[in-house]
Amino acid sequence: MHDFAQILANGLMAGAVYGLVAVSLALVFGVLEIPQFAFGAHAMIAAYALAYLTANEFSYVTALVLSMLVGMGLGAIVQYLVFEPLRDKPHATLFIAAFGLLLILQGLALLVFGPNPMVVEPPIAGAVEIMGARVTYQRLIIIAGVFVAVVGLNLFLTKTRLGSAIRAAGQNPFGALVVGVSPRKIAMLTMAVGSGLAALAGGLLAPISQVYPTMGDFLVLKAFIIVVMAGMGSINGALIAGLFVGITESFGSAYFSPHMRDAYSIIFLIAVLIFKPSGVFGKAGRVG
Amino acid sequence: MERKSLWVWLIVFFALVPLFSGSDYHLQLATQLLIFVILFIGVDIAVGHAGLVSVAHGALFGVGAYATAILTVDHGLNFWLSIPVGIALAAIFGLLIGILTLKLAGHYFVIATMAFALLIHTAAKNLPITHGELGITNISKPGVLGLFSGNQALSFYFLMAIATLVVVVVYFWLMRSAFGRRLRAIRDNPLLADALGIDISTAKLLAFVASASIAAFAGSFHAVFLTYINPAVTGYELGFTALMALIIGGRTTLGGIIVGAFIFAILPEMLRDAEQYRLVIMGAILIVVVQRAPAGIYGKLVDWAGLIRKRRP
Amino acid sequence: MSEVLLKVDGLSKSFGGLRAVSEVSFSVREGDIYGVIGPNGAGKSTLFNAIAGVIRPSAGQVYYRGSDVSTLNAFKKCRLGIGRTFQSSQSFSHHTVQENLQAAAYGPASSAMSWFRSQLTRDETRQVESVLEMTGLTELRDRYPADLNNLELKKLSIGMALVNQPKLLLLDEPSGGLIESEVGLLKAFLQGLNRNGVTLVLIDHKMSLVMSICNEITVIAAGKYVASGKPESLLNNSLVREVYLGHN
Repeated sequence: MHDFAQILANGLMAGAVYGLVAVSLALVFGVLEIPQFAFGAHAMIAAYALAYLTANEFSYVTALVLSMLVGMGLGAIVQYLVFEPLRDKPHATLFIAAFGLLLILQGLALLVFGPNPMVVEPPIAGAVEIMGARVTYQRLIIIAGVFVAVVGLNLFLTKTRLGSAIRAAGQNPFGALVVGVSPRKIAMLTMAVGSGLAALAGGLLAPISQVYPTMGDFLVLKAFIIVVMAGMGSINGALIAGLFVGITESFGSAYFSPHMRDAYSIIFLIAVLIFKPSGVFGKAGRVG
Repeated sequence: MERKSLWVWLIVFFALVPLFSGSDYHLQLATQLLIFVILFIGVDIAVGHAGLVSVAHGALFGVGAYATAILTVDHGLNFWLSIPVGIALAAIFGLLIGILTLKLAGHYFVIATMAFALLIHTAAKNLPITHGELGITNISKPGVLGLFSGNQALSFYFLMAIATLVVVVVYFWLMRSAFGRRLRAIRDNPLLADALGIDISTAKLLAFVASASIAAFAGSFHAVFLTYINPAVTGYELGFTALMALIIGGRTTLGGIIVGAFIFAILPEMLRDAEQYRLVIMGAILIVVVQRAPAGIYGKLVDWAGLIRKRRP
Repeated sequence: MSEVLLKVDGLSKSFGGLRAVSEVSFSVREGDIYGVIGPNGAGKSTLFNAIAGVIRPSAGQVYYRGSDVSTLNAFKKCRLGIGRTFQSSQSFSHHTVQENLQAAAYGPASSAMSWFRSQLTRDETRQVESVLEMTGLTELRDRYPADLNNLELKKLSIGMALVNQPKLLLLDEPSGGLIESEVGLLKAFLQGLNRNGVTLVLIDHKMSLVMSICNEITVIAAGKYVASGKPESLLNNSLVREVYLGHN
């Protein structure tokens, strides 16, 4: 029972991080149809920002918020410079631009910070016992952070004017115009919000995984698989699918084989592709 | 698709490479280039002509490499006999992947192919038959190389050049045939293609299988060229690289394929010493080309050449 | 009595909860120029696409020369002799007129080996020439679609369907985008085709074209069958008048 709880807890944490990155991707993918492969790198840049700030006497929470702002700014800039000129281009082109962006961000991180990982101390050290599982405070912070972020995103999308404009744009390219906001601004805003969420993921993960240029790579790959599994435009579905993947990977590694860890999510994806290609939560409208 | 005169230039150029190269190292670079040219030709059939953006074919290259490695090292099979096995295996995988993914729309299709590439990669890392993470060493080069006296690097280069020529001929023949025409029709206007009697599903599956076969063919040579392979050879990175090489270099043209192979296979090797700059440079090339030269660098070069010719009195 | 070439029997199509077409039936005889008309939103396009094989009927059957072709894909129907055109004249923009027609000839695969041929057969080449003549596009054979006017584009797209020698040609809003004079020319062209043995079924909302060219018409509205018969009889049909009241 004790083991079970531990495995579950580990899985939940991993799943929460996966889920958050998947949500950021689902948002941008669903509304803008941009396969933002560089979001893992956005997370990494934000993590570096966090590491830098915490090394300079900023508190973890402040640094987290600031690094999210950095992420949002990065998102807006990236949309303006990289993706906006490629509006209406085929998806392969967007994929490549995103990949190019990924390389640039990683290269810059390598140039500025070097290949050695930067360490970030967790704000609350130590752990707590919950139902027989030893859960570090940082892991609790991650789960809480993800939960708050996704709830916040839902509120933003449903209760605010800008959020509704984003949702409208997701249903229909002219949706934004109908609500009275220019598509370009909506695009920058959407990318900024998505990037901010990815940044949060990076900042939450930093104390656990340490900060290094390629830290976001495996995250974004999993996130893509999760987004396809969840289905087009399903943001909350992406979170649920992310949690599911995290938990099954954890149990799979513990009870079957740790080496096949990466394969579990793929196997589920293949199953979804066979039985419900539109995704577990997929539906006709694009964002919801 | 290009004029036949281009062929003559290319054959002459590649035949003369050994004269210009100073060392074995350059010959090996050129050999590696040719291996990638074959791979990219394969991927181009699916990506360029059929418009199926697949990342899985990089992993199928690895299937060919592993087939040759396993059969020659563990079972003492002749290299040339291992090639059809690799091709058959990759073709079957290609067929299965195609059946499962071709009904998916746009971006989901790409991701699904990536997932399959990951699956093959994970299998390569974990199955006993592939020797796991350690990979397979001591792959011996084909005996026929002994027929050419002396320089092994030179012999291998010529072997590769001949293999590449064979693939190029097959590629041109296939893509000029009804098969290639149907693929391009499907790529350009699927609704119209359907109405004109083109069996879209079958054509796409065939494109997948053809691409897989050629990719595996390249992979077999890769295994004996490096004499050592590990699971990285099935990594999705190669699939991405192939995709990018085609989009950056230029699709459906041999010139574009060669430009792409140069940029993605050779340039990084040449920039090896400046790792951090390499990443930024490659990334910048990707973004700039995709924004400024959407049809690829080769297309831009042809345009510029055309412009220059127009200006001459 | 000529053969019934196409029989639509109780065809229905729903999208989710929306019933776009509801139990429509009619028969087309060989040699007919058959019209399907109705006000906008009547479900004509859906009906058309279901017959053509682009979408699958939810219920009902489509019979071609007596065989049930209800669930066949468009490409299979093409091979059986059913051709179709699109509302927005479709062609391959980077091919010349002649190359477009050749592309159409390469479409259907007669055998496995035919996938690998690099040349058209002599018959196919002759057929391409004949279509060029029929459509009056011989002079324009080396031009690109971008250089053609609307009527020429329309004839090109019809020509592409004709290359494979269909017995039945489905025309989706053929008058779309054409001005009055062009419609007159189109009408003459279609009548010529029909005299040459091609049975035509057209959906269109331009009453004047349909009434003047079709020998038999079915009227649908809101996805349902309203009436059918000869043009003159429909003009006097009160149901039909009602359905078109307010529409022109």
